[in-house]
Amino acid sequence: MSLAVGAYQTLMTWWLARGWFGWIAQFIWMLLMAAIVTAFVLLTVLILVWLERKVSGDIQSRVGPNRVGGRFGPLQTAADALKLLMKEDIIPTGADWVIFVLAPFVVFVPTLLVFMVIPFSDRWVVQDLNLGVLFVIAVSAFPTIGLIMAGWSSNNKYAIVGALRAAAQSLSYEIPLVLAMVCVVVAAGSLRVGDIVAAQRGGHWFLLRFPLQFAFLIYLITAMAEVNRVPFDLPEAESELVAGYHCEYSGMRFGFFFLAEFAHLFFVSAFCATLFLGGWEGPVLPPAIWFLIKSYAIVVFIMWVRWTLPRLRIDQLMAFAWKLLVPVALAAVMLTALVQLRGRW
Amino acid sequence: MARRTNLAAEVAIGAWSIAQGLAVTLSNWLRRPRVTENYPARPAHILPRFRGRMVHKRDEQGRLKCTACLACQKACPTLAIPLIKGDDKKGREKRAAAYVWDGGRCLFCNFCVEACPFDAITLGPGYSTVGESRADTHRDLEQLLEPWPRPGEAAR
Repeated sequence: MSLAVGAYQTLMTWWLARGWFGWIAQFIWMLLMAAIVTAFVLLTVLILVWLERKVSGDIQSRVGPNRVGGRFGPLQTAADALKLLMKEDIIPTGADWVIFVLAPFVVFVPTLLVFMVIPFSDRWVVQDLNLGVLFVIAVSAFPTIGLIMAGWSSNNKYAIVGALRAAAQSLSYEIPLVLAMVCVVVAAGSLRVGDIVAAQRGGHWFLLRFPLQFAFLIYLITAMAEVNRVPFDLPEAESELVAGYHCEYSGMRFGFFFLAEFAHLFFVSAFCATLFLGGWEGPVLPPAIWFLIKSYAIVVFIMWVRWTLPRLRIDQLMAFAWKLLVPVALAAVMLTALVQLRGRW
Repeated sequence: MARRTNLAAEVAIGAWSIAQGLAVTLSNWLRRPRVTENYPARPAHILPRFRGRMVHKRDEQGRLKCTACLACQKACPTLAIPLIKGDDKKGREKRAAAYVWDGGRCLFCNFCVEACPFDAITLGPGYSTVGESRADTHRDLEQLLEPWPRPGEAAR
Protein backbone atom coordinates (compact mmCIF):
# COMPACT_ATOMS: atom_id res chain seq x y z
CA MET A 1 0.00 0.00 0.00
CA SER A 2 2.68 2.44 1.00
CA LEU A 3 4.53 1.48 -2.16
CA ALA A 4 1.53 2.50 -4.28
CA VAL A 5 1.19 5.78 -2.39
CA GLY A 6 4.88 6.47 -2.84
CA ALA A 7 4.72 5.72 -6.57
CA TYR A 8 1.66 7.98 -6.91
CA GLN A 9 3.36 10.85 -5.06
CA THR A 10 6.52 10.47 -7.16
CA LEU A 11 4.55 10.54 -10.39
CA MET A 12 2.54 13.57 -9.23
CA THR A 13 5.60 15.62 -8.23
CA TRP A 14 7.29 14.66 -11.47
CA TRP A 15 4.26 15.77 -13.47
CA LEU A 16 3.79 19.01 -11.50
CA ALA A 17 7.44 19.91 -11.93
CA ARG A 18 7.38 19.55 -15.70
CA GLY A 19 3.82 20.13 -16.80
CA TRP A 20 1.92 18.00 -19.28
CA PHE A 21 4.15 18.56 -22.25
CA GLY A 22 7.44 18.00 -20.44
CA TRP A 23 6.06 14.92 -18.76
CA ILE A 24 4.94 13.31 -22.01
CA ALA A 25 8.14 14.31 -23.80
CA GLN A 26 10.28 12.75 -21.10
CA PHE A 27 8.09 9.68 -21.03
CA ILE A 28 8.52 9.15 -24.77
CA TRP A 29 12.26 9.78 -24.44
CA MET A 30 12.52 7.12 -21.74
CA LEU A 31 10.53 4.63 -23.80
CA LEU A 32 12.92 5.27 -26.67
CA MET A 33 15.95 4.67 -24.46
CA ALA A 34 14.38 1.50 -23.08
CA ALA A 35 13.72 0.30 -26.63
CA ILE A 36 17.33 0.97 -27.64
CA VAL A 37 18.74 -0.86 -24.61
CA THR A 38 16.34 -3.78 -25.10
CA ALA A 39 17.29 -4.04 -28.77
CA PHE A 40 20.96 -3.95 -27.85
CA VAL A 41 20.53 -6.67 -25.24
CA LEU A 42 18.53 -8.91 -27.57
CA LEU A 43 21.11 -8.49 -30.32
CA THR A 44 23.89 -9.24 -27.85
CA VAL A 45 22.12 -12.38 -26.69
CA LEU A 46 21.81 -13.56 -30.30
CA ILE A 47 25.53 -13.04 -30.76
CA LEU A 48 26.42 -14.64 -27.43
CA VAL A 49 24.45 -17.83 -28.07
CA TRP A 50 26.16 -18.15 -31.44
CA LEU A 51 29.53 -17.42 -29.82
CA GLU A 52 28.92 -19.98 -27.10
CA ARG A 53 28.24 -22.68 -29.69
CA LYS A 54 31.24 -21.64 -31.76
CA VAL A 55 33.57 -21.59 -28.74
CA SER A 56 32.33 -24.96 -27.49
CA GLY A 57 32.77 -26.38 -30.98
CA ASP A 58 36.29 -25.03 -31.18
CA ILE A 59 37.26 -26.37 -27.79
CA GLN A 60 35.90 -29.83 -28.62
CA SER A 61 37.57 -29.90 -32.06
CA ARG A 62 34.18 -29.64 -33.71
CA VAL A 63 33.00 -27.01 -36.15
CA GLY A 64 29.88 -25.59 -34.52
CA PRO A 65 27.08 -23.98 -36.53
CA ASN A 66 28.22 -23.69 -40.15
CA ARG A 67 25.15 -23.78 -42.37
CA VAL A 68 22.51 -21.18 -41.51
CA GLY A 69 23.23 -17.86 -43.17
CA GLY A 70 26.69 -18.52 -44.54
CA ARG A 71 29.89 -20.32 -43.76
CA PHE A 72 30.02 -19.53 -40.03
CA GLY A 73 26.31 -19.95 -39.34
CA PRO A 74 25.64 -16.41 -38.05
CA LEU A 75 21.87 -16.79 -38.34
CA GLN A 76 21.73 -20.03 -36.33
CA THR A 77 20.43 -18.29 -33.19
CA ALA A 78 17.83 -16.36 -35.18
CA ALA A 79 16.57 -19.68 -36.57
CA ASP A 80 16.49 -21.15 -33.05
CA ALA A 81 14.56 -18.15 -31.73
CA LEU A 82 12.06 -18.48 -34.58
CA LYS A 83 11.64 -22.15 -33.72
CA LEU A 84 11.01 -21.30 -30.05
CA LEU A 85 8.40 -18.72 -31.05
CA MET A 86 6.51 -21.25 -33.15
CA LYS A 87 6.50 -23.97 -30.49
CA GLU A 88 3.37 -24.91 -28.62
CA ASP A 89 2.94 -23.05 -25.34
CA ILE A 90 2.33 -25.67 -22.66
CA ILE A 91 1.19 -24.92 -19.12
CA PRO A 92 1.15 -28.16 -17.09
CA THR A 93 -2.17 -29.21 -15.58
CA GLY A 94 -0.91 -29.12 -12.00
CA ALA A 95 0.88 -25.82 -12.39
CA ASP A 96 0.00 -22.65 -10.52
CA TRP A 97 -0.54 -20.85 -13.79
CA VAL A 98 -0.49 -17.20 -12.67
CA ILE A 99 2.94 -17.59 -11.09
CA PHE A 100 4.01 -19.90 -13.89
CA VAL A 101 3.24 -17.24 -16.48
CA LEU A 102 4.77 -14.40 -14.44
CA ALA A 103 8.06 -16.11 -13.56
CA PRO A 104 9.91 -15.68 -16.89
CA PHE A 105 9.28 -11.93 -16.79
CA VAL A 106 10.34 -11.60 -13.17
CA VAL A 107 13.60 -13.19 -14.24
CA PHE A 108 14.01 -11.26 -17.48
CA VAL A 109 13.02 -7.70 -16.55
CA PRO A 110 15.62 -7.13 -13.77
CA THR A 111 18.41 -8.48 -15.97
CA LEU A 112 17.36 -5.90 -18.54
CA LEU A 113 16.99 -3.18 -15.91
CA VAL A 114 20.58 -3.35 -14.67
CA PHE A 115 21.85 -2.27 -18.10
CA MET A 116 20.51 1.16 -17.14
CA VAL A 117 23.66 2.13 -15.22
CA ILE A 118 26.24 0.62 -17.56
CA PRO A 119 28.26 3.31 -19.37
CA PHE A 120 28.54 1.98 -22.92
CA SER A 121 30.66 4.94 -23.93
CA ASP A 122 31.78 8.27 -22.48
CA ARG A 123 28.29 9.72 -23.02
CA TRP A 124 26.14 6.68 -23.65
CA VAL A 125 24.57 5.80 -20.34
CA VAL A 126 20.85 5.67 -19.76
CA GLN A 127 20.91 6.98 -16.20
CA ASP A 128 24.12 7.35 -14.22
CA LEU A 129 22.57 6.94 -10.77
CA ASN A 130 24.24 8.26 -7.61
CA LEU A 131 23.99 4.82 -6.11
CA GLY A 132 24.65 2.90 -9.33
CA VAL A 133 26.50 -0.01 -7.73
CA LEU A 134 23.88 -0.35 -5.02
CA PHE A 135 21.19 -0.32 -7.70
CA VAL A 136 22.96 -3.15 -9.51
CA ILE A 137 23.30 -5.18 -6.32
CA ALA A 138 19.65 -4.67 -5.42
CA VAL A 139 18.15 -5.32 -8.82
CA SER A 140 20.32 -8.27 -9.77
CA ALA A 141 19.09 -10.07 -6.64
CA PHE A 142 15.57 -10.01 -8.08
CA PRO A 143 15.80 -12.87 -10.63
CA THR A 144 16.24 -15.34 -7.75
CA ILE A 145 12.61 -14.69 -6.81
CA GLY A 146 11.63 -15.46 -10.39
CA LEU A 147 13.57 -18.72 -10.29
CA ILE A 148 11.80 -19.78 -7.11
CA MET A 149 8.46 -18.80 -8.65
CA ALA A 150 9.25 -20.89 -11.72
CA GLY A 151 10.36 -23.90 -9.70
CA TRP A 152 7.47 -23.74 -7.25
CA SER A 153 4.68 -23.14 -9.76
CA SER A 154 5.83 -25.91 -12.13
CA ASN A 155 4.67 -28.55 -9.64
CA ASN A 156 7.64 -30.69 -10.53
CA LYS A 157 10.19 -32.18 -8.16
CA TYR A 158 13.16 -31.43 -10.39
CA ALA A 159 12.04 -27.84 -10.86
CA ILE A 160 11.63 -27.20 -7.14
CA VAL A 161 15.00 -28.78 -6.32
CA GLY A 162 16.60 -26.62 -9.02
CA ALA A 163 14.89 -23.52 -7.71
CA LEU A 164 15.97 -24.19 -4.12
CA ARG A 165 19.51 -24.75 -5.27
CA ALA A 166 19.37 -21.53 -7.26
CA ALA A 167 18.17 -19.63 -4.20
CA ALA A 168 20.83 -21.09 -1.93
CA GLN A 169 23.56 -20.48 -4.48
CA SER A 170 22.50 -16.93 -5.31
CA LEU A 171 22.28 -15.97 -1.64
CA SER A 172 25.66 -17.50 -0.83
CA TYR A 173 27.53 -16.04 -3.75
CA GLU A 174 25.89 -12.62 -3.62
CA ILE A 175 27.81 -11.84 -0.43
CA PRO A 176 31.36 -12.21 -1.81
CA LEU A 177 30.17 -10.57 -5.04
CA VAL A 178 28.96 -7.53 -3.14
CA LEU A 179 32.15 -7.46 -1.08
CA ALA A 180 34.22 -7.52 -4.27
CA MET A 181 32.19 -4.57 -5.55
CA VAL A 182 32.71 -2.83 -2.21
CA CYS A 183 36.47 -3.09 -2.73
CA VAL A 184 36.10 -1.17 -5.98
CA VAL A 185 33.77 1.34 -4.37
CA VAL A 186 36.30 1.92 -1.59
CA ALA A 187 39.09 2.41 -4.12
CA ALA A 188 37.05 4.75 -6.30
CA GLY A 189 35.42 6.57 -3.40
CA SER A 190 32.02 6.61 -5.09
CA LEU A 191 29.02 4.41 -5.74
CA ARG A 192 28.36 6.15 -9.06
CA VAL A 193 29.47 3.95 -11.96
CA GLY A 194 30.56 7.00 -13.94
CA ASP A 195 32.92 8.03 -11.10
CA ILE A 196 34.35 4.51 -10.93
CA VAL A 197 35.23 4.69 -14.62
CA ALA A 198 36.58 8.22 -14.19
CA ALA A 199 38.84 7.03 -11.36
CA GLN A 200 40.49 4.62 -13.81
CA ARG A 201 41.21 7.22 -16.52
CA GLY A 202 44.61 7.16 -18.15
CA GLY A 203 45.16 3.42 -17.98
CA HIS A 204 45.04 3.23 -14.16
CA TRP A 205 42.84 0.19 -14.25
CA PHE A 206 41.67 -1.13 -10.91
CA LEU A 207 42.89 -4.54 -12.01
CA LEU A 208 46.45 -3.15 -11.85
CA ARG A 209 46.10 -1.49 -8.45
CA PHE A 210 47.51 -3.70 -5.70
CA PRO A 211 44.82 -5.20 -3.47
CA LEU A 212 42.09 -5.15 -6.09
CA GLN A 213 43.36 -8.24 -7.91
CA PHE A 214 41.76 -10.26 -5.12
CA ALA A 215 38.50 -8.43 -5.68
CA PHE A 216 38.77 -9.14 -9.42
CA LEU A 217 39.27 -12.87 -8.86
CA ILE A 218 36.41 -13.04 -6.38
CA TYR A 219 34.18 -11.06 -8.70
CA LEU A 220 34.95 -13.36 -11.63
CA ILE A 221 34.29 -16.55 -9.63
CA THR A 222 31.10 -15.30 -8.02
CA ALA A 223 29.90 -13.83 -11.30
CA MET A 224 30.10 -17.30 -12.87
CA ALA A 225 28.09 -18.60 -9.94
CA GLU A 226 25.55 -15.78 -10.25
CA VAL A 227 24.81 -16.56 -13.89
CA ASN A 228 24.52 -20.28 -13.06
CA ARG A 229 27.19 -21.42 -15.47
CA VAL A 230 29.46 -24.44 -15.25
CA PRO A 231 31.21 -25.11 -12.84
CA PHE A 232 28.39 -23.59 -10.77
CA ASP A 233 25.42 -24.74 -12.86
CA LEU A 234 23.77 -26.76 -10.11
CA PRO A 235 20.35 -25.10 -10.45
CA GLU A 236 20.04 -26.44 -13.98
CA ALA A 237 22.28 -29.48 -13.77
CA GLU A 238 21.09 -31.41 -16.79
CA SER A 239 22.36 -34.79 -15.69
CA GLU A 240 20.65 -34.57 -12.31
CA LEU A 241 17.65 -32.27 -12.66
CA VAL A 242 16.61 -32.52 -16.34
CA ALA A 243 16.78 -28.74 -16.76
CA GLY A 244 16.25 -27.48 -13.22
CA TYR A 245 13.77 -24.70 -12.57
CA HIS A 246 12.72 -24.30 -16.20
CA CYS A 247 12.16 -27.94 -17.10
CA GLU A 248 8.37 -27.52 -17.44
CA TYR A 249 8.69 -24.47 -19.66
CA SER A 250 8.38 -24.59 -23.42
CA GLY A 251 8.36 -22.24 -26.36
CA MET A 252 9.03 -18.59 -25.77
CA ARG A 253 8.55 -18.82 -21.99
CA PHE A 254 11.61 -21.04 -21.95
CA GLY A 255 13.14 -18.60 -24.41
CA PHE A 256 12.82 -15.82 -21.85
CA PHE A 257 14.79 -17.80 -19.28
CA PHE A 258 17.40 -18.44 -21.93
CA LEU A 259 17.46 -14.76 -22.89
CA ALA A 260 17.78 -13.72 -19.26
CA GLU A 261 20.64 -16.13 -18.69
CA PHE A 262 22.69 -14.79 -21.57
CA ALA A 263 21.73 -11.17 -20.90
CA HIS A 264 22.91 -11.65 -17.34
CA LEU A 265 26.13 -13.21 -18.60
CA PHE A 266 26.79 -10.16 -20.74
CA PHE A 267 25.86 -7.80 -17.93
CA VAL A 268 28.22 -9.49 -15.51
CA SER A 269 31.06 -9.28 -18.05
CA ALA A 270 30.29 -5.69 -18.97
CA PHE A 271 30.16 -4.70 -15.32
CA CYS A 272 33.44 -6.50 -14.69
CA ALA A 273 34.99 -4.54 -17.56
CA THR A 274 33.58 -1.34 -16.08
CA LEU A 275 34.74 -2.00 -12.53
CA PHE A 276 38.16 -3.46 -13.17
CA LEU A 277 39.23 -2.89 -16.77
CA GLY A 278 38.58 0.83 -17.13
CA GLY A 279 35.19 0.59 -18.81
CA TRP A 280 34.98 2.35 -22.17
CA GLU A 281 38.41 3.93 -21.88
CA GLY A 282 41.12 3.06 -24.39
CA PRO A 283 43.38 4.51 -27.06
CA VAL A 284 42.69 5.12 -30.78
CA LEU A 285 39.41 3.20 -31.14
CA PRO A 286 36.08 4.80 -30.18
CA PRO A 287 35.05 4.25 -26.53
CA ALA A 288 32.03 2.09 -27.35
CA ILE A 289 34.27 -0.31 -29.29
CA TRP A 290 36.67 -0.55 -26.36
CA PHE A 291 33.77 -1.29 -24.06
CA LEU A 292 32.61 -4.11 -26.32
CA ILE A 293 36.12 -5.53 -26.72
CA LYS A 294 36.65 -5.71 -22.96
CA SER A 295 33.21 -7.14 -22.26
CA TYR A 296 33.52 -9.80 -24.93
CA ALA A 297 36.99 -10.76 -23.73
CA ILE A 298 35.52 -11.59 -20.32
CA VAL A 299 32.55 -13.35 -21.90
CA VAL A 300 34.88 -15.56 -23.91
CA PHE A 301 36.94 -16.28 -20.80
CA ILE A 302 33.82 -17.37 -18.89
CA MET A 303 32.83 -19.61 -21.81
CA TRP A 304 36.34 -21.05 -21.88
CA VAL A 305 36.05 -21.93 -18.19
CA ARG A 306 32.62 -23.42 -18.81
CA TRP A 307 33.87 -25.84 -21.42
CA THR A 308 36.86 -26.80 -19.29
CA LEU A 309 35.67 -27.57 -15.78
CA PRO A 310 33.21 -30.15 -14.45
CA ARG A 311 30.32 -29.28 -12.16
CA LEU A 312 30.82 -28.88 -8.40
CA ARG A 313 28.93 -30.87 -5.81
CA ILE A 314 26.40 -28.90 -3.75
CA ASP A 315 28.36 -29.25 -0.48
CA GLN A 316 31.59 -28.24 -2.23
CA LEU A 317 29.76 -25.25 -3.67
CA MET A 318 28.50 -24.08 -0.29
CA ALA A 319 31.79 -24.78 1.49
CA PHE A 320 33.68 -22.86 -1.17
CA ALA A 321 31.42 -19.83 -0.80
CA TRP A 322 31.19 -19.67 2.98
CA LYS A 323 34.53 -21.06 4.13
CA LEU A 324 36.77 -19.51 1.50
CA LEU A 325 35.23 -16.73 -0.57
CA VAL A 326 33.49 -14.78 2.18
CA PRO A 327 36.51 -14.58 4.53
CA VAL A 328 38.87 -13.78 1.66
CA ALA A 329 36.49 -11.12 0.36
CA LEU A 330 36.22 -9.55 3.83
CA ALA A 331 39.99 -9.54 4.13
CA ALA A 332 40.23 -7.97 0.67
CA VAL A 333 37.85 -5.20 1.68
CA MET A 334 39.88 -4.45 4.80
CA LEU A 335 43.14 -4.54 2.85
CA THR A 336 41.74 -2.19 0.21
CA ALA A 337 40.50 0.20 2.88
CA LEU A 338 43.90 0.13 4.61
CA VAL A 339 45.77 0.85 1.40
CA GLN A 340 43.28 3.58 0.61
CA LEU A 341 43.75 5.19 4.02
CA ARG A 342 47.54 5.17 3.89
CA GLY A 343 47.50 6.33 0.28
CA ARG A 344 50.15 3.80 -0.71
CA TRP A 345 51.09 0.18 -0.05
CA MET B 1 44.24 -40.73 0.31
CA ALA B 2 44.89 -38.75 3.45
CA ARG B 3 42.57 -35.82 3.96
CA ARG B 4 44.33 -32.54 3.30
CA THR B 5 43.76 -30.00 6.01
CA ASN B 6 46.07 -27.30 4.74
CA LEU B 7 43.64 -24.90 3.09
CA ALA B 8 46.27 -22.77 1.40
CA ALA B 9 47.90 -25.80 -0.18
CA GLU B 10 44.53 -27.07 -1.31
CA VAL B 11 43.67 -23.78 -2.94
CA ALA B 12 47.06 -23.61 -4.65
CA ILE B 13 46.76 -27.17 -5.97
CA GLY B 14 43.22 -26.46 -7.14
CA ALA B 15 44.24 -23.29 -8.94
CA TRP B 16 47.14 -25.09 -10.62
CA SER B 17 44.91 -27.92 -11.82
CA ILE B 18 42.37 -25.41 -13.18
CA ALA B 19 45.18 -23.68 -15.06
CA GLN B 20 46.26 -27.03 -16.49
CA GLY B 21 42.70 -27.75 -17.58
CA LEU B 22 42.42 -24.37 -19.26
CA ALA B 23 45.69 -25.03 -21.10
CA VAL B 24 44.35 -28.35 -22.40
CA THR B 25 41.17 -26.77 -23.74
CA LEU B 26 43.15 -23.90 -25.22
CA SER B 27 45.41 -26.29 -27.10
CA ASN B 28 42.31 -28.00 -28.52
CA TRP B 29 40.82 -24.61 -29.32
CA LEU B 30 43.81 -23.67 -31.46
CA ARG B 31 44.14 -27.06 -33.14
CA ARG B 32 43.76 -27.21 -36.90
CA PRO B 33 42.36 -29.00 -38.75
CA ARG B 34 39.27 -29.99 -36.83
CA VAL B 35 38.20 -33.58 -36.37
CA THR B 36 34.78 -32.95 -37.86
CA GLU B 37 34.52 -33.32 -41.63
CA ASN B 38 32.21 -31.17 -43.69
CA TYR B 39 30.84 -34.28 -45.38
CA PRO B 40 28.08 -33.53 -47.88
CA ALA B 41 29.84 -30.35 -48.98
CA ARG B 42 33.16 -32.11 -49.43
CA PRO B 43 33.93 -35.81 -50.04
CA ALA B 44 34.56 -37.77 -46.88
CA HIS B 45 38.04 -38.90 -45.95
CA ILE B 46 38.06 -42.71 -46.22
CA LEU B 47 40.60 -44.95 -44.55
CA PRO B 48 42.32 -47.55 -46.78
CA ARG B 49 40.67 -50.63 -45.25
CA PHE B 50 37.19 -49.12 -45.14
CA ARG B 51 34.48 -51.64 -46.07
CA GLY B 52 31.61 -50.02 -47.92
CA ARG B 53 29.75 -50.70 -51.14
CA MET B 54 30.28 -54.11 -52.78
CA VAL B 55 32.76 -54.31 -55.65
CA HIS B 56 32.93 -57.09 -58.28
CA LYS B 57 36.54 -57.84 -59.15
CA ARG B 58 38.01 -58.63 -62.54
CA ASP B 59 40.73 -61.07 -63.50
CA GLU B 60 43.96 -60.22 -65.35
CA GLN B 61 42.19 -59.98 -68.70
CA GLY B 62 39.55 -57.69 -67.27
CA ARG B 63 36.90 -60.38 -67.30
CA LEU B 64 34.26 -60.68 -64.58
CA LYS B 65 35.31 -63.20 -61.94
CA CYS B 66 31.84 -63.99 -60.63
CA THR B 67 30.40 -67.31 -61.84
CA ALA B 68 26.93 -66.90 -60.37
CA CYS B 69 27.42 -69.83 -58.00
CA LEU B 70 25.02 -68.29 -55.45
CA ALA B 71 27.39 -68.92 -52.50
CA CYS B 72 27.20 -65.25 -51.50
CA GLN B 73 23.43 -65.23 -51.69
CA LYS B 74 23.23 -68.25 -49.38
CA ALA B 75 25.69 -66.71 -46.95
CA CYS B 76 23.92 -63.37 -46.74
CA PRO B 77 22.10 -63.00 -43.39
CA THR B 78 19.85 -60.13 -44.52
CA LEU B 79 19.00 -61.20 -48.08
CA ALA B 80 20.83 -58.20 -49.41
CA ILE B 81 21.64 -60.00 -52.69
CA PRO B 82 18.19 -60.51 -54.18
CA LEU B 83 19.19 -61.47 -57.73
CA ILE B 84 22.01 -63.48 -59.31
CA LYS B 85 21.67 -64.82 -62.82
CA GLY B 86 24.19 -66.79 -64.84
CA ASP B 87 24.57 -66.54 -68.64
CA ASP B 88 23.27 -70.01 -69.62
CA LYS B 89 25.99 -70.82 -72.14
CA LYS B 90 26.57 -74.60 -72.40
CA GLY B 91 30.10 -75.97 -72.51
CA ARG B 92 31.86 -72.72 -71.67
CA GLU B 93 32.90 -70.92 -68.54
CA LYS B 94 29.88 -69.66 -66.70
CA ARG B 95 29.77 -65.95 -65.84
CA ALA B 96 27.22 -63.78 -64.01
CA ALA B 97 24.88 -61.91 -66.31
CA ALA B 98 22.89 -60.08 -63.69
CA TYR B 99 23.60 -59.33 -60.05
CA VAL B 100 21.81 -56.97 -57.66
CA TRP B 101 23.16 -55.75 -54.34
CA ASP B 102 20.70 -54.02 -52.02
CA GLY B 103 22.54 -51.23 -50.16
CA GLY B 104 19.56 -50.67 -47.92
CA ARG B 105 19.79 -54.16 -46.44
CA CYS B 106 23.52 -54.83 -46.46
CA LEU B 107 25.16 -55.01 -43.04
CA PHE B 108 28.70 -54.90 -44.45
CA CYS B 109 29.34 -58.10 -42.44
CA ASN B 110 31.75 -59.50 -45.04
CA PHE B 111 30.10 -62.99 -45.00
CA CYS B 112 29.57 -62.90 -48.78
CA VAL B 113 33.22 -62.06 -49.34
CA GLU B 114 34.29 -64.97 -47.14
CA ALA B 115 31.83 -67.33 -48.81
CA CYS B 116 32.96 -66.56 -52.35
CA PRO B 117 35.05 -69.50 -53.70
CA PHE B 118 36.51 -67.42 -56.56
CA ASP B 119 37.53 -64.32 -54.58
CA ALA B 120 35.25 -62.40 -56.91
CA ILE B 121 33.69 -59.86 -54.61
CA THR B 122 34.92 -57.49 -51.94
CA LEU B 123 33.59 -54.57 -49.94
CA GLY B 124 35.14 -51.42 -51.35
CA PRO B 125 35.60 -47.79 -50.40
CA GLY B 126 32.25 -46.55 -51.77
CA TYR B 127 30.20 -45.10 -48.90
CA SER B 128 27.20 -43.31 -50.33
CA THR B 129 24.20 -45.54 -50.95
CA VAL B 130 21.48 -43.04 -50.08
CA GLY B 131 18.51 -42.37 -52.33
CA GLU B 132 14.93 -41.21 -52.32
CA SER B 133 13.41 -44.68 -52.54
CA ARG B 134 14.41 -48.23 -51.70
CA ALA B 135 15.11 -48.93 -55.33
CA ASP B 136 17.68 -46.11 -55.30
CA THR B 137 19.82 -48.06 -52.86
CA HIS B 138 20.11 -51.04 -55.23
CA ARG B 139 23.19 -51.44 -57.39
CA ASP B 140 23.34 -53.70 -60.46
CA LEU B 141 26.29 -55.51 -61.96
CA GLU B 142 27.39 -52.59 -64.11
CA GLN B 143 27.64 -50.29 -61.11
CA LEU B 144 29.31 -52.91 -58.91
CA LEU B 145 32.03 -53.85 -61.39
CA GLU B 146 35.42 -52.40 -60.59
CA PRO B 147 36.64 -49.88 -63.19
CA TRP B 148 38.89 -51.15 -65.98
CA PRO B 149 41.71 -50.49 -66.45
CA ARG B 150 42.20 -50.09 -62.73
CA PRO B 151 42.89 -46.46 -61.81
CA GLY B 152 46.59 -46.02 -61.18
CA GLU B 153 47.57 -48.92 -63.48
CA ALA B 154 48.62 -48.23 -67.05
CA ALA B 155 46.36 -49.71 -69.73
CA ARG B 156 47.96 -52.83 -71.24
